[in-house]
Order: sequence, then C-alpha cells, then structure tokens
Amino acid sequence: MQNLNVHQTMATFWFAESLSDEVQKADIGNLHHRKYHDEVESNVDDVQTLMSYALTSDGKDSVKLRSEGLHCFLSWVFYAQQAWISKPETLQHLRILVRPALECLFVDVLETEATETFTDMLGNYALFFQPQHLEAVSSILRGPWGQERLARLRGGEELAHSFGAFLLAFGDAAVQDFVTKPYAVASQEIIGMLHGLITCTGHVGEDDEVALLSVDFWNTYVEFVTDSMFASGESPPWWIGPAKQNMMQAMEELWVKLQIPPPSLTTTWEESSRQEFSGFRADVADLMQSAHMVLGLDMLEKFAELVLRSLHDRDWLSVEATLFCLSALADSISEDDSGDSVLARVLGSSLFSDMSNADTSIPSKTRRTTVDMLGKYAEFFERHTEYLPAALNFLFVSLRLASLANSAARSISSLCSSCRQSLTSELDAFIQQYRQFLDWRTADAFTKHKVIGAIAAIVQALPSEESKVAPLQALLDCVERDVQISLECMAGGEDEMSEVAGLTVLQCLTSMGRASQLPDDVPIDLDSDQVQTGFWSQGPGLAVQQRVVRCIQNITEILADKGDVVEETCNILRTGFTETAPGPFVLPPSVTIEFVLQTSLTTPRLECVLTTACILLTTHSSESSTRIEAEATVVLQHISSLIRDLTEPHNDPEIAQSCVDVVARLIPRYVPVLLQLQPPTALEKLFTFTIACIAGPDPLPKRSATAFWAAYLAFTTPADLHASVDYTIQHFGLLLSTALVRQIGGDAARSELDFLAEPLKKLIFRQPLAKDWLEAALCGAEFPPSARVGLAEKRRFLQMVVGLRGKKETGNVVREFWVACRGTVSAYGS
Amino acid sequence: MSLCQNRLQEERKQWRKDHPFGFVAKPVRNPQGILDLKKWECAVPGKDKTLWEGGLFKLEVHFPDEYPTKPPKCKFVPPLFHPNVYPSGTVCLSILNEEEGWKPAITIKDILLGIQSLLNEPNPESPAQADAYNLFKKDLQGYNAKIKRIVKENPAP
Repeated sequence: MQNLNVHQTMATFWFAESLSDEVQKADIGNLHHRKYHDEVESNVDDVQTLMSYALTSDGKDSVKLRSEGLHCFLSWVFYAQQAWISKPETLQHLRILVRPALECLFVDVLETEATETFTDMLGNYALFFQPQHLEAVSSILRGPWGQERLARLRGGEELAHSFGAFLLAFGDAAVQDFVTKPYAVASQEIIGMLHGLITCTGHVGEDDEVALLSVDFWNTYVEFVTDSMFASGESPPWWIGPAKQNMMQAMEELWVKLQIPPPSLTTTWEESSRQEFSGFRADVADLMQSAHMVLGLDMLEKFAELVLRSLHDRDWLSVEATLFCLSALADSISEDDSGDSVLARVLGSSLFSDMSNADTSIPSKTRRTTVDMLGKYAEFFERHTEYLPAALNFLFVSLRLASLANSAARSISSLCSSCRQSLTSELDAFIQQYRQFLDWRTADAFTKHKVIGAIAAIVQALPSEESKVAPLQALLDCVERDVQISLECMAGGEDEMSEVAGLTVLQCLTSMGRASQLPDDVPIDLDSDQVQTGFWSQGPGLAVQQRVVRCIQNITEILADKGDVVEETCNILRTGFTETAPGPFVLPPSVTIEFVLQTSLTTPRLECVLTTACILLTTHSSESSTRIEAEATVVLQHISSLIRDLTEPHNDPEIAQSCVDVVARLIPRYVPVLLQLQPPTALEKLFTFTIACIAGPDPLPKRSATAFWAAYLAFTTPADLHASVDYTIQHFGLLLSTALVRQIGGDAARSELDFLAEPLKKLIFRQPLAKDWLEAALCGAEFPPSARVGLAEKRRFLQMVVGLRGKKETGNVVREFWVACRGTVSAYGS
Repeated sequence: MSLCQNRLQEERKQWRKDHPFGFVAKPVRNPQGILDLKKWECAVPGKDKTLWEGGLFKLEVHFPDEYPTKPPKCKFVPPLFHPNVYPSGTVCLSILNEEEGWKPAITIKDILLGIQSLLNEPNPESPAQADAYNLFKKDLQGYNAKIKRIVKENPAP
C-alpha cells in the first residue's frame, strides 16, 4: 500500500466500494451466484488491510483517505449484513475496523460524515456491533465530545442535528440495556441525554427536527417494555418502576412539544411546516396510545392534573394540547369505568362553562379540540349522565360558530345517540334549542341533519309509542319549514335554492329514520310488540307516517329530475326496511312500490331506485316476513317494461344490471310471481335479456345475470312449480349454454371467469341435457372463431366439466380452457 | 421468526421512520395487549387539490401467512363509496392482485399511496360496486357532489 500514490490508493478504494455494491446485486440465495460471493469472501483480508490503512492514515492526505475509508466501510458492512450473517469469523475482519472508524468522529472535517455513517449502521444493522463496540460508542456519547454537541443542539444549532440522529440511533440499538439496567451510570446518562433531545428549544415544523425523530425512539422503548411485560406474565419485571418513570417523563416532555405555537409564529408558516407539525402530533398521539398500555391510569392522572392546571392558569394552548392527548387515549380509556373518577375531574370541571364563554382570548383551536374530544367520550357520559348537560350545552353554543359547527353537530349526534336513554327528560329543551338553531347562519343541510337525527334518537328512547308522536310532529314542523322554502323557491324560479332546501328535507328525514331504528344493544321486548302492531300504520302514529310521506312527495314532485333527490328518497325508504318492529319510519311497502312505479329510463339514479326494490324484496323473503306477492308482481311488471324500453342491455348496462338484480331477488320466494309474468312474451323477453347480459361486453350486467342463472338453476323446485321451471330451463338451455361457452371460449375477461363458472356448474348438475347443449355451443358458429383450440381440446373440456358434475374444480377447468382459447399457453391439457 | 413476521417488523420500522403526511398504519393489539402484526389499522387521507381533500378513510389491512409472496387484503371500514371498492369494503387494485400487479417488493407505503391515488382516479375497467360505478359513469356531477358529502362525513383531524 505504501508504494501507491494517493491517486492510485483512491482508485483502489473506489474499486473496493463498487465491488461490494455490485456483488450485492447478485442474489445470494441463487446457487449460480454463489461463486461470486465466495470469491469476494476470500478477499476479505485485503479489504480489511485496505480500509485499516485508510482509516488510520495520517499525513497530508489523511482526510481524503479516511473519508473514502468510511464510505467503503459502510458499503462493506451492508454487504456483510446479507452475505455474512452467519459467519462471525469473516465479520470479524470488518468489526475490527469499528474503533478506527470511531476515531474519525474527532476529526472536525470528518465529523458529520462519521456521525452519519454510524447512524446508518446502528439504524439498519445494529447486530453488527458487539457489546464492546456499543460500549465504546456509549462512552463517546457520554463523554465531553457528546456533551458538547448535545449542548449545541439544545441551544438550537442546526448542524448538531446529525448528532441527535446518532444519539437516537444508538438509543434504538441499545434500548434493552437502558430499560433492564436502569441504575447503571451509562444507562442513566444516555437516557438523560435522550430526554434532553425532546426538551430542546424550538418548535416542530419550524426549527426542531429532533423531537420528531425522538418519537421513533420512544416507540421502540415503549414497545420493548410492553413486550417484556406481557412476556413476564403475572409478576412484572423488577425494572418496571424506573421504566414507567422514564416513559411518563417523556410523555410530559412531548406534551410540551405538542402545544401549538403562538399565532405570531404560525401565521408565517408554510404548508409544509403545518403538515410536519400535525404529522408530529399524530405520531405522538399514536405513541401515547401505546404508552397507555403500560402507564394506564397514571397517565390519565397526569393529563387530568395538567388540564386542570392549565385551565386554572387560563393557558388555552396547553389546555388544547392536553385535550388532544385525552382524545388520543379515548379509545383505550373509555372501554371500562376504571378511569371514570379521574375523567370526572376533567369533564366535570369548569372546562365546558369556560369554553361556552364568549371570551375571545380562547383560541378556536382549543374549542375545536374540546368539541372533538367530547364526541369520543360518549361511553363515559353514558355512565355519568350528570355531566351531560354542561357538555351538550357547550356543544349547542358551539353550533353557532362557523368554524365549530360541523364538529359540534357531529359530537352532538354521537353523544345523543349513545346517551339517548338519559336525555329523554330534556327532550323539550332540545327541540327548543333546535328551533333556535334553525335561524342561525350555521344551520345548513349537514348540521341540520346531524342535530335533528340526534334529537330523533332521544325520541326513539321514549318508553311508549304514544309519547313519541308529539316530539316527532314537532321535529316534522321544522322539516316542513324547508319543504315550504323548497316549494317557494321553485315557484319563484330559484331552482338551485329549491334543490338545496329539498335535499335538506330528505337528509333530515333519513337521519330521523336512522335514529328511529332500534339500537343494536337494546333487548327486544317480545310482549310489547303485540300491543304496538298497527300503532304507526293505522293508529295514532299514522299521522306521523303520513306527514313523512307527504314531505317526500312534495319534494319529489318538484325535483324528480334531480339525482340526489331520488337517491336520498331511497335512503329514507330504506331506513325502515331492516326494522323488525313497526315504527314511525317503517312505511308500508306500497310507499316504496309507488315510488318505483313512477320511474322510467330517464329517471336519474334509476339504479338506486331499483336497488331499493331489491332490498324491499329481500326483507320480505325470509320465512318470518310478510309475503308481498301483489307488490312483487307490479314491480316485476315495471321491470319488464323497463327492459322492453331498453331493448338491449348494452344500451344502458347499469340499468340492465339493476333490472336483472331485481329479477334475481324473486328467487326463491317469489318464483311463482316470476313465472306468471304476463303476457308470456314478456317472460320470454326477460329471460332472453338476462342471457343477452351474459353474452354482452359489459361486466356488471354479466355478473348479475350469471348470479341470476346460478340461483335459478339451483332453486329447489316445489312440486307445483317443477314443470314450469323445468320448461324454462329446457327452453333456454341451449341459448344460455351458447352464451356461457362463448364467454369461456375467450370473450370474457379473466376476472369474470369465476362468475361464469357458477351457472355452468349448476346447469351441469341440474340438467342431463346440458352436455348436448354445451357440445352444440362448442361446435357451433357462435363459438369465438379466434379461439386457439381445436376439436380435441373442446372435447376434452366438455368431458372434464361434465365429469365434474358441478364440483368446485370446474372453476380451474374453465380457467385453463379460457387460457388455451386466448392462446396464452402452448398446448391445452398437455 | 417467519419471513412474513420479519418482513412486517421491518415494514413497521420503516413506516415509523418515515411515512407520508396524514396516513396512519399500525398493527393492532389484541385485548391482551399482544401485537398482531398480521392485522393493521390504516387510514388514507384524500389527496390535496382533489375532491377527496380533507377526508380520512379507515382501512383494515390483513396480511396472509404467505406474505410477501401473496398480497395483503385491504378493506375500507366502513365500506367506501367508490367504483373500485367492493360492497364489503375490499379494495380492487391491480397491485393488490396476486395475478396482476403484486410484487413482494411493494411496501405498505406503496399500497396506501396507491389506494390514495385510486380514490381520485377510479378505474372504470374494473368496477367493484354498482352504486359508485354507475354514478361515476352516468352523472359525474352527482358523483362529485356525493364525494364531497362523504368527505364531510369523514373529516381528517
């Protein structure tokens, strides 16, 4: 080496570095490449000599040489990570270089490079370092060199950030030591320095990059503690006390960093700074959730103390930060009542009355976070209804502020829905509040429908059906105000305004309908049901239902050409479908049917209406449901006329699909309705249409039609229907087979094959004649002429699918045949 | 540790080190507190300057034992109104399909970014749910209005 001049030495380094980079690209698991790796390994002696020469060089070119040595070292270490993971002797050649490389940290011009090299190695290949190496790094970090850099970093010196990253990477690599040897001087010193990183001056997003990186380290720390705790079973590890202390300290330090900087700073922030800051907050929230697994109630106590202190000091930004943390913990805390007494101190404090105050010094962000947090603690309020009034009062006040209205409406909805049982006595006050709110500028479709739904949920919780009528009427009074506006605007030629008001009406009704559904967690009282039958459909509740229907009709009459109106009407109707007991929004099927019958091919979102018809049929298909033959019959007639008008599925594939879906829902209960469709030519057209869907190019009608046929062919026919069903299958068997075979013969897309295989399986299983039909289809003129299969392949396919008699392996056979027809394999079945 | 677990550990580490703004991805813990690396809770924000801006949509990502040879299954919870999301919530995206674009080198970050792009760039060639697909195809204005409402219902914090 001594005989080489500096240029020659540098060239040798470049070669050595490229060598490790390049050989890494040859997959080590591949036997053919083994020889390259063996060859490289046999040269490790030379590499070590070369790097050792560079890293320890002195004289005038030493900086250049050492810098190159560091590059080369890093490159070889990463190669070793893949190649020599189980070869400690070979690795030793590189490990021996750790110390001379560390020396580079002390050379001014090499410091950053060396710091980054070690950060990289510690972060990506910590196992490279043996205990003695980690110890060496630790002493450097704890020594004067490290302390000086930490001080510079804490003082805000930007260049020292690479030191922060180095310290954190070391922390990550050696975390087990700090946790399990909490009283060792080295652990304490390093942990102290790591805390020092979070408490640097500056704000994340502006001039503090290290706090952001620290979150990653503390995640590692918390995770190690959590895993060890769960691994140790009943008795926690002895070091858990100091570990918890460290975690709590870190949480408090991060809490400070979470606080939104004063507006004087943030107003000049660019979008990237805002993003970085809120990204940091989200990461810390995540970390806090993990830390809560270990710290539990202590953590909640800490935040309760912090929030009360900040409230007392009227330090609104720190109130905000604490409530943000409490929001983050909501999911973990509110599961049980163990934290309730602590939460009560916060949620029962002056917080809500302070926030309801018009005091302009309270930042809107603090109010917003309070609103958001409230919605997350619905379960707490369910257990402690005594705190609800203040909270809801605050939320209603917040409805007035444009920046808070949406969040407040959302939180009101969530709290009222969860705590409906305890709010019934306040119902009148709520309705009163709602009336006032309607005059505020923040009352738009979104806030109105959220809040009216919230109140309707309280109505739902009233003990008797009789008591629900009056409040529902009161809410409908409010809804009718918008009906009126919609009608007047339309009359005045303000179509857009009319639509906005009309949609608001419908959204409010949907929201009320959803809120009126029986909650999942309420036991159904079987005895009381009997009494209530007819209450809503004939008795005192009828007036409510009639008003609901009238509202819908008023709006749909003037806005029938608006897609959103059609869709929202469907939503209202659907809210009653799934209910098992009668209710204000469980409207008679005739209301839906009438709506369906008003449609034509030009109705916007016709598909949505047809899907609603599907759901109606499904809910009346179970054994226990009432039969609706008459309704099913008129729906089918309507579908039949839509199909007639449509002529071909491809003219409007979406409507075609929806029509087929409705027909499919007639199976099994309403098959007689299907078979009795009049005139008989309409039935013929309907079946032909479904087959045209299969034969056509559009994926969704094809999917629906295959599902229809699969269901129809699998239908267990009762004796009285046997002849008619069989007749239709015989009649359409060849046509269906031709369509299916043509698709499988290459016309279909690969993703459609599973759907196509279904009716094929059922056909073969049900009908002995299927074989003849399929054979005719395979050999007929309809079979895709482009298919790259001959007679032998077709025969083989036929033999196999028929032989499988509808078993699930049919799918694979279909796939293979399709591939062969498409010509993407050389020989089918070989 | 199996290949699947190793890879997921590494994915997690990388995600924590660096992840795109507004996204969430973390393995769930079971009630006993044990981390289940094969089931992640994720959230994808709507892309800036698109209709979806301001929304945040939650997903469950399930990794099969054969991961990364086989792709994970991504499912919006609750199901999302989108042409390429099945009624069950499962996302239909070529990079998530073993027979199409899946490659073991695809990271969670790639997947979530891919899903984010899909939000505003639906693929009409592979419709997964009729509702969103039909509206998108026939009434783009109505579709756009509906997306805005959905974003309002699912605001990013």
